[in-house]
Amino acid sequence: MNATRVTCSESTIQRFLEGRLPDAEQLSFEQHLEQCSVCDRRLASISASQDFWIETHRFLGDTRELPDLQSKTFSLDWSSTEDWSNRNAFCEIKLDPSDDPRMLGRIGEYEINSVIGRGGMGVVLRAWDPTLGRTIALKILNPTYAYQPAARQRFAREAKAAAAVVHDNVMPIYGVDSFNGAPYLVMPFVEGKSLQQRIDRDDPLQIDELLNISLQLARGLQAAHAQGVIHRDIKPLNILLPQNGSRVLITDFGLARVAADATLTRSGVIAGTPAYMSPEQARGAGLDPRSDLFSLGCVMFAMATGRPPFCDESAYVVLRRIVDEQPRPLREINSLIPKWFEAIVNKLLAKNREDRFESAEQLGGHLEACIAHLREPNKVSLPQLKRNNRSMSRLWIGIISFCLLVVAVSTFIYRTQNLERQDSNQSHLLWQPDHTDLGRLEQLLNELNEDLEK
Amino acid sequence: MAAPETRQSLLLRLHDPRDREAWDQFVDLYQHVVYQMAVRRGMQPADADDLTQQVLMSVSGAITRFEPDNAAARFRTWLQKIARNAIFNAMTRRPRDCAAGGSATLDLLNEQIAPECQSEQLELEYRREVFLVAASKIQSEFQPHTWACFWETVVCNRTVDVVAQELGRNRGSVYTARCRVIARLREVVEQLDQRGEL
Repeated sequence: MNATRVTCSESTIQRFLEGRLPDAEQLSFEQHLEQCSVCDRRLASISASQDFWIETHRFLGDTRELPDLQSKTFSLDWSSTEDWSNRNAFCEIKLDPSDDPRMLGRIGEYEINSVIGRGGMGVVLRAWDPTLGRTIALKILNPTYAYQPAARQRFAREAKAAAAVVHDNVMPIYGVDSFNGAPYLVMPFVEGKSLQQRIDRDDPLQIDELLNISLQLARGLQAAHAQGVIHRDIKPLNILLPQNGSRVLITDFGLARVAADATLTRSGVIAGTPAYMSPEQARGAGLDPRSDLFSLGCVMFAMATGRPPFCDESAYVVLRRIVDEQPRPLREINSLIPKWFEAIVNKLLAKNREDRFESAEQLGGHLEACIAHLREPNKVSLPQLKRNNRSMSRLWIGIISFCLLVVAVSTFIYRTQNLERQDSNQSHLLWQPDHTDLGRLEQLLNELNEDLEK
Repeated sequence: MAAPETRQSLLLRLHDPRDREAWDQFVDLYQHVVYQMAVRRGMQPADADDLTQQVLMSVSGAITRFEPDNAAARFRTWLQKIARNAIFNAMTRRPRDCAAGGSATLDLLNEQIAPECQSEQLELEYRREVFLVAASKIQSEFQPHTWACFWETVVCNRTVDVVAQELGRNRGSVYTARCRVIARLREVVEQLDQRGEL
């Protein structure tokens, strides 16, 4: 058959593996492997330990796709590896001295009166603007992370975009500047409380109040969306109810992005509860204005029931619920809420954004009609909720998913059984389905489902 | 404030050029591992980017503490240990009430050991991402059919006979192909995670 004698030795195998054998020997050794299972096994164990083979099978088998490293380039910002020990000194903002003894100090031209609040993102100060002679609020990005050039730039960018949104229901931004490297926003000083504080009060919101606030929020979002600004973090804490008047203000437009940087800097995990996030946000998918609509739905749910639709102690569980679970029916928690209001909230809380209202504008129109109906129930009839066209096709998607499930399960069972019958060479790759596999199956199906819906 | 430290001057602290090479190879893979792990844990891409940046900075900051004279600590091994702690802690740390400052946080990232209960799970996730990133890295180094021999038999667990027939190759060449791939995979995985030595 072949003339070249092949010796079964470790060093030959080693050299073969490294491609260091002469071509002819290389070829004949390959042929030799056909027959010699001893060399097969030695070759395998020289290439990698048995554990490594098993791990490779397990880890790579767990995924259907390898990560695409080419599309992802990281630019490590080396300029920020400056001497870290100096950074502690900047954890507190050092104010410039003020000539006015009643003031805490000065930031730029502004005389600082008092600290209004501290949030995840920074400090809010009450200040006096001597040039225009008015009281203002300064929101300063926490200097701890103002040191990240990326966060700083993002702050400035988002603030500029948000400043372009001019609407009665959006907190105006007078200016953006920085002080000792810490950027800050200049805003009007508005006395009032947050919607969260209102929700936490004992007396529940009445339906007309509920609708009124919801409508204002929808109109505020509409104005922002028209400017291409997505809020990303609509929640009761970011909604201000001024003391005088019934106007509602949405604050912190687009700053969620910056705040997220901040919390990551501090902890490396998503801080706080993501209770008002949309499913696409929870999944890390791209956002569009309808994500804000989902969050608004959560806010309306919370106004009606006192708590957000998806809650749990663990942020991770909340994220899972947002993506996978339906909330408890609103009227089960508060039976005083009319059915049609529940229907609006449910539509906003649709997992698939195609099934929500098309826009804040459409939602606003619908709420206006509801308010008109509430005022004159006999004259104005209740507006009908339009069913999105796509809804019907979901039945088919369900049927197809079920069929796929059957196929996938059979494949798994088949493969598992098959594995047990592997020849001796491969017996170490024995593999039983366990929880990870089932989880994977579930994920696979979810993804199939999503693909289908696209 | 001290002048910003450049990558070059940072790396010059590693006297051995092999260490510098090890660092470059390491970072090249490690950043993807951190990113993938963060994304798989539900972080948004932009947040995962920032986390990656943070972890990388904390690890690179640690270079200054590496003692090349200490014969017991080979750079690569030492680096792997630091890097694992950094990512585990970044993934497990809960937000704290007090505002943690830069250097304090980084020291914690570097030195704190992740809580026992989570470390096993993290260990597994880390190891898994290392394999995925390494596999993705080396795939282009092989001919598509060589890669297919490996993927079909090792990852998909199909028999060598079937795959050999399907690809029109003999069994020996399938054995050879998959061993070459796995040997290379092992090499790259070990740049990041040498089991047993840690």
